[in-house]
Order: sequence, then C-alpha cells, then structure tokens
Amino acid sequence: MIGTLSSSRPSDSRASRLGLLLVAGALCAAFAGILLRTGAGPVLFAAGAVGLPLGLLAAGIPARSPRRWWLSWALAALAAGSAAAGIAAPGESGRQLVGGWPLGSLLALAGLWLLPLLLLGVGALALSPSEPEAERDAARDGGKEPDAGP
Amino acid sequence: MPDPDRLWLAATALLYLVVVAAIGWWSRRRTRTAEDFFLAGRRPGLWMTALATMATAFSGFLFLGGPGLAYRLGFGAFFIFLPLGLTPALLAAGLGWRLRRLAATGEVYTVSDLLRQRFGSAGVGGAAAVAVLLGSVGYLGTQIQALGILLASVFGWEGVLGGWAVPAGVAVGLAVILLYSVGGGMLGGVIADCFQGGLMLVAAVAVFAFALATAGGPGAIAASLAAAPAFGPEFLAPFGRIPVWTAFGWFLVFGFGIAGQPQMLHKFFMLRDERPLRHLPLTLGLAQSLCLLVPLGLGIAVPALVAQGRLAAPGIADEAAPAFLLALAPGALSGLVFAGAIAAIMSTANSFLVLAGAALVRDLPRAWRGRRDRTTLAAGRWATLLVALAATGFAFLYDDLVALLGSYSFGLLAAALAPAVGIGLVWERVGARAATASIWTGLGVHLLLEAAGRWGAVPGVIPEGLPPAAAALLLSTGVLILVSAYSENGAARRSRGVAETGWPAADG
Repeated sequence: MIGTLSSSRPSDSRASRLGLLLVAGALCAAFAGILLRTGAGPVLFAAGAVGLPLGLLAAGIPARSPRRWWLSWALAALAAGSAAAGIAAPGESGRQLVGGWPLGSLLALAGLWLLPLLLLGVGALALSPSEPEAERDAARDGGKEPDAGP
Repeated sequence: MPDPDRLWLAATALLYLVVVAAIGWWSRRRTRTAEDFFLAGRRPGLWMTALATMATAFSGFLFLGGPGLAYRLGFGAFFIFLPLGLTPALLAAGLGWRLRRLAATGEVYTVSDLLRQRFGSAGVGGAAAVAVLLGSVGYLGTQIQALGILLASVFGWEGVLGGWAVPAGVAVGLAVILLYSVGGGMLGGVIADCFQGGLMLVAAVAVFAFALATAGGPGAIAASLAAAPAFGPEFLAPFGRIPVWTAFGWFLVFGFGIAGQPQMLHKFFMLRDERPLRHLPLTLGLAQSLCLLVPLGLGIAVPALVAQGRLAAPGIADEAAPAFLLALAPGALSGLVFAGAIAAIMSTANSFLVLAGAALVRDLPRAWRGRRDRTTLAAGRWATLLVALAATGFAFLYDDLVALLGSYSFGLLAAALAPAVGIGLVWERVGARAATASIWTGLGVHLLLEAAGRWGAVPGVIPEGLPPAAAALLLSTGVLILVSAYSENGAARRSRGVAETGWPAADG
C-alpha cells in the first residue's frame, strides 16, 4: 500500500485535507466549465489526465493513516469524475463573455493554473513540518549525510 | 549607418554572453570534485534551486515556440503550460523529499543512480540511462540548432557570412556553453542558471506588459481576434483549434510527465537540506508562472496586431515573436527578450550536457560492466565535451533524426521515466522488473509512434489528435501497475530477508 512507504510528516491534518479538497474542487470547476461546450466523449482519458497527476500528488504527500490514503484517491476520483462529466455534457456556457473574454477560457486559466498553484503553494508552506521535525524525520528514515566525493 | 535598434540588440546579446562566459571562468576554479561537477557540491538553497529549476525547465520553446504555437492554435496551446499549477507541488511536496533522502543514502548523482538505489537493480539503471541519453541528445541537438539560428540573426551574420552564419552561431554559442559546462559542470551551470533565470523573469514581465499595451489591452485584443476571419471566436475558446484529445494529452504529458524529467529531478539531488522543500511549490510555481507571461502575452497580442492590420502575418508561426520584437519593440526590449531566449536555450543545454555526460561515463558502464568505481572530475569533463561535439555533429548530419528526438524529448523522457520515478518512489509494491518493463515500454512505444506519425502510418487504435507521448505514457504506466500488481510484494521479499530495494525503512 502506498501509505506504508510514507514518512511521518504531519500532513494528515484537517487543513491538509481541506487544501487538497479545494484544489480538487478548483480543478473540477474549471474542467466542468471549459468542457461543457464540447460534447465529446473521451471520458476515460480525461480521468487519466486529471486523476493521475492529482492522485500522485495526493498520494505522494505522506500520510500516517490509511484513511488519508483513501481520501487522497477519493479526491482524485472526484476531480477526474467531474472532468469526465464536463466532457460528456454539451452546452453553451463556455462561449459566454465576461469582460470581453470567454468564460470557459478564463475558468481554464484560473482553475487549472493559478488556483492550484496558489492553493498547493500556500498549503505546502503552511502544512510542512518545522525544520527540527523535518530533521528528526530524515534521521529516523535512515538518511545520512552525503559523502564528500572523490 | 547601422540601425540603432539592431545595435542595442547585438550589444545586449554580447553583454549577456560575456557575463555567462565570466561565470564559467569563475566556476571552473571552484570545481574540484566530481560532486562539485555533477551536484554543484550540494550547495544550492531555496532561491538558487527555484531559479535554476525554472531556467532549466524552459528551453527556447518558451520564447519562440510557445508564442508560435499560440499564434497557430489559439488558447488550446496553453494546455501545454496549464499543468504548471500542479507540477511544482508534485515535484517538491510529492517527490522532492524522497529524491533528497534517497540521494543522501548513497552516491546518487543521476536519475539512473536514483532508480538503481531504489530498486537495487543495475538493469533499471541501464534502461534509465538509455532513456536519458536519447532524450538528452534530442534536446541538445535542437537547442544547439536554435542557438545557432538565434545568434546568427541577432548579430546579423547572414549578410556577412551567408551560408556559414548558422554554423558560426553554433560555434560561438557552443564555446560559451562549454566554457561553463566543461569547466564548472553543474556548479557553473546552477550559478549561470540563476543569472539566466533572473534575466528570463525580467524579460517575460517586460515583454508581456509591452505586448498587451501595444495591442490595445485585453478588451481590444479579444474584440479584434473575435472579429477577424483569420482567427474568429474559436481562437479564444478554451480548446482553441486543437481537438479535445490533444488538450488532455498535453495536460497529462506536461503534468504527470514532469516526474520523468531528469534535468528537473537532478536539482533535488543537489539540495543542501530539506528546508527549501516547503517553500518551493510557491516560489518555483510563481517564477514559472511569470515566465509563462511570454507565450500568454505574445500568443494573443501578435495575432491581435495581425488582425488589426498593424503587423504583417508571419510566414511561419515560430516567427511570430521575432517578427513582433523586430518590427514594434524598442531595441532595448528586443535585446532583453532575445538575451532571455538565448539564456533559456543555454540553461537547458548545460543541464543536458552534464546529464548525458554522466549517462555515458557513469550510468551505462555501471549497468553493463558492473563497474562501481567513483566517477572522476576529469571523466565528467571529457564526457561533457564529447557529448557536446557528438550532439552538434548529429544536429548537422542527421537533422531529421534530431528533429524526431528533439521535438518530442520531453514526451520521450516522460513516457520512459515518469511512471518508474513518479509511482515507483511512492508505491512500495513496484519492483525492479516492473520499473524496467515500464521504461522500455515507454521508450519503445514513443519512438515507434513518433516515427509512424512522420511516415503517416499511425495505428488506427490511437484516437485522432492524441499525442504519441500521451499514448506511450499511458501504456508505460499501465505496464508498471500491471506488472507490480502481479509481482511479489516488496514487503514480503524484505520479510524473507531479501534486501533489494535500498529503500529506507518506512514507518507505515
């Protein structure tokens, strides 16, 4: 199980879960918005495109409990499912203009680029362990000082 | 009397080359060990890592190819860049500390070393080395070609040297790259990357503001594009002119595929300690996002100016940015942006030179001849020089093959290495057999599909518009998961006393 490879960084917190949920939500909203108008059907591929990076990210951030592991993948599935639903649903909302710009394109830029960037960036800063904790984790996980080279 | 704008352009580019050459000379005197050469002495901290990773990640594509792609495809082109919302966190928060800790458990200089350390198998390391070598030669060949064309154009050598202008540009550019790559290795490279990254950031912000202002601001740009028959409302739609499959393929390859890019993973081996990792998602992400203002700004402003009749339509899409800069931008700004483009090319080329050199003298011999002796500084320098000369010769003699490898090197490295690194470092069940099979699958399928695409023989099972790299990446990921699922669990092997993964003890 992925969780057994994880180290002991305190990311299994309510704030961590909330951060990932926000990222997944932003991705879902952006994909739903931009994909409503296409009516195309590559549902599985959308799941892979969105779910794989997000799932890997979610699973890659260490966890102490299996519950956290399942939650990570549930969030990835949520994002992928929403993208798939957006692709499958035809519509005209993507063509609506906001300030001269198409709504769908603005959602794409905000939801796929800026929002995840800020949420994950601020989240990593706020949720990562303090320096003494990180050093303690590194020592316990068997890390040693690099050798000096030839 | 020479044009003052051209003089500004040439003077800025010349100043840039002199500064980078000086960095090379300075760093050569401070590179004393193989660890200095391959890992910058493990000295970089937060800002150095963020700037160096950003500069290495973006090649000349950012300044030339990106705006050209947006000119041709509209908003859909940005699906290549949109994964940057996720990738800094994926690299730093998801994988960075694992890379750093694995690198600290042994003599890990390269991705091949990393995978051999993780899976305890020389075969995995060898397969990774082949992928890195092929990807690097492709990247280098195209970067060297682009550098020659750019320098010849900036200094106006076509009128003087005729057909020798591009080779002269290649010779000058390569000499400067080699000065800091062969002399200073990654130490010189990282310091030069920081200077180059800073230059790219300034150039990106300046050209974005100037391009938008010149085209009349966002409202005028959107209105003129929507009204022009050559572009139309579809140009501004989320997918622009690309099929849905292409958009998602790009999102997958440039999102998940980041886990297979050795030039970026390598920066995490160099980290002095883990403290920068919590800051990196934000600092690296914001730096990369600022650079994206180049394709975003030029990609919409240039077609708008063409639609408004204020700029002639470029002959080919890749000329969109140079056409705008030479026709409408002041000389100082043009010089800054062209210097930024040269910086982007050089920073990427330097990383791949050192990585390919390491694959040649370190990774491949270790995989096939079982040699475990330490790589010396002299060997690293000679290998870097050899790779540079080979890639240059290759670029001139077999430009079609280089174009095949170079145009899709990111995809090749993603398809071959992303599953083994991205999933292999996270999932304990992944073993050496699964990782090796995944790397060879990604490499083989990607090259086959790219070649088939060139010869117009793409298999019918591949959906129209799906990038070959995306198909290869999905297949290599599937192979990794399937082989792992049907293999003996790594934990079970260890419980029988078979210590083969080299993975630090996990606490569950």
